[in-house]
Amino acid sequence: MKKYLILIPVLLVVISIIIFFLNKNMEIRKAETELSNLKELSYELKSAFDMHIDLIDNPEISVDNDRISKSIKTIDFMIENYLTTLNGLNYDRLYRISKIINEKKSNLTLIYEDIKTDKAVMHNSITWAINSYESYMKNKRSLSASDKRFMNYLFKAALNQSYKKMVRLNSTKYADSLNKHLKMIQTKQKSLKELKMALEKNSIIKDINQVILFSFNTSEALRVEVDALVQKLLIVSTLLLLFSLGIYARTIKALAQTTESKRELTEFTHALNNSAIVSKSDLKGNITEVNDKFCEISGYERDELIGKPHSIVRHPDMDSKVFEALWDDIKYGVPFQGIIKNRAKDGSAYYVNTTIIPLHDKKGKIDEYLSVRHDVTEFMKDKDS
Amino acid sequence: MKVVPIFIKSFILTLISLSLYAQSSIKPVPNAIYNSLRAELGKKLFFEPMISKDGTISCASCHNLPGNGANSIQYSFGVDTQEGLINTPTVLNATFNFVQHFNGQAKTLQEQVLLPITNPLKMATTIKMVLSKLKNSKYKDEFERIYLDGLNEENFANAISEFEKALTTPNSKFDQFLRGETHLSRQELLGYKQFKSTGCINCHNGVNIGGGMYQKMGIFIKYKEAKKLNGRIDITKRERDKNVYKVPTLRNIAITAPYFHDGKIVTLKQAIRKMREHQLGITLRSKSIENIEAFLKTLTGETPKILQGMK
Repeated sequence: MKKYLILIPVLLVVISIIIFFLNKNMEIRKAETELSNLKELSYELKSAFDMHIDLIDNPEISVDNDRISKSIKTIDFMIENYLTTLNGLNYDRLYRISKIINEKKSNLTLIYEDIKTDKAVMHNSITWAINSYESYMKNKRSLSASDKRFMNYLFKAALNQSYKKMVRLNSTKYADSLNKHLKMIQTKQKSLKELKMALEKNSIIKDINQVILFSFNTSEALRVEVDALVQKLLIVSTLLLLFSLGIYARTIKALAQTTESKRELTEFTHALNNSAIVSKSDLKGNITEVNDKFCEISGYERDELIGKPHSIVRHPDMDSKVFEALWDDIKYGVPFQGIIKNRAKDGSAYYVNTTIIPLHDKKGKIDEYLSVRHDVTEFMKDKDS
Repeated sequence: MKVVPIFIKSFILTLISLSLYAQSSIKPVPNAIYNSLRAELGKKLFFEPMISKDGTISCASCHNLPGNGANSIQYSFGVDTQEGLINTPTVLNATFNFVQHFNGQAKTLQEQVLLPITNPLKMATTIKMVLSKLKNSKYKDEFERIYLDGLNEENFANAISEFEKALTTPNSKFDQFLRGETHLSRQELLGYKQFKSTGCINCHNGVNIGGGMYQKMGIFIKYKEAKKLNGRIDITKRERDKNVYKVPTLRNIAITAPYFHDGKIVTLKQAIRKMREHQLGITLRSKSIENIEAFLKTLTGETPKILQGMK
């Protein structure tokens, strides 16, 4: 179980990256939806505006003011909505375009009015021309006259040539009227041409196209951003995965090593316990651990020994100076070795060749002593006798 | 003459226009669509002199109702017997006009309502004053009953404009003729034909037979006004809008004398003659003037429903 712990932080990091990505992705999706809506709206307005301009510019229905007024109201409402949408999105460029469109909108309102006004006047003069032509034709009794002849008639009349013969009307007055109306038609045509140019100049189609282009480019950039994000996510995740795998492998290896060392230690301990009398004591000399051989040779039960000082097995024959020397050595970390005579529980004496090894803690300070003894009673008895 | 080529060119263009030329039309007055609760409140406000500075004049002081929706004097009088600058236009069918006011100052009826109130020559007061007066009257409760947010500037204007939307005059003899319900007399029919053929219809068309565009007063011959006015140039500041006014409606024209924005012309015949000289640049025989007059007389409609039963 422990070996999997290392994967948890890695997983957490991966999950947080994925959450970040999803969040970012959602934002981008939202922006994309907004932009595509804007694009749709733009196309809608574009075609409506085109139709509207056709209506304004069409000579055939030029004087249907009710229809024109209605169309102006509709298109103004649409543009108003469009501008609100543009300003609602957080793009500087769109804001600037909306300002331009707004300006053009107020220009257009004036242009529509002027076109209506000028067309009415022009149509009035045209009406006059038609009427005059008809009355002329009636007077001439030649209904098959071509357009060319009509032009010729108007042209000659305008030049004040023999109009008296041509039309039986009050001559001078008629020529004046003709000149007046021709001039009016000419002026209004010129004016309408200019107005048409102004209409083109103030056409919002170009700006709508810019909005469409902008939204197209922006959504494209967003798509690229998403791709880059996916790429980044993949790279980061792969790296993290590799890294965590490395750590995982190392942990497994270390764990295997530890197990091996532990096994070895156990074997060593087993060997030691089977070959020697072993005990451990704290810094004051109180027994903390004994092995079976200790109990066997000393005749005490393990419970009787734990927590007692080592002097429990001290034989009165031993000189206290030996112990002083012993303490002097081991206190300073020097292992002590010597043959010590001990007394068992039943009072019998036994000799042990003792090695006391100070054991150090992680910081290098002595924290306990390990005593390893070998029974040399036989040998000593032989020596004595 | 050097102008010859230009003329030829213009004729060719003219011919193209002629081939595409289509006559514009007159449409009958449709049914009035309005909120009757609001319109009834607006009606009361329309006749309420309390609104003006000294409590002497109401909207109806200049716009006679029931009647022609205007008055029969050249210039109307505001508070302190001040004379106005322009002839009162009729409020009847005003809802069909594409903009309001002679110079198009107000885009909607609702905007227009507030203009005479603050005009120093008319009611000479402020909207704030009007609202505070109304707040201390029976109108406060009425507004609260009809409008969610009670009495305020917008709702005040809305009530009156709603009443004005109701002021349409349907079923004139000509409308009935357009719907095929009746016949015009020979003279009226001739007048209608001449109205179209002389070019009147180029400006006076649509539902309101006018009220759909601006036009210069005095296209061919300069028009001398009784009181000097500038026209639409006051609003747009463009030179071409000098002496330009909204084309007025011809509905109920027979009962809305005097005529033109300065109210100088008293009879319909005179008005037709003046129009044809100044605007159309033609001479008409008096016979056709009579015919057109007869046609214009068929444009008088019924009293609006909302005014029926009033004296």
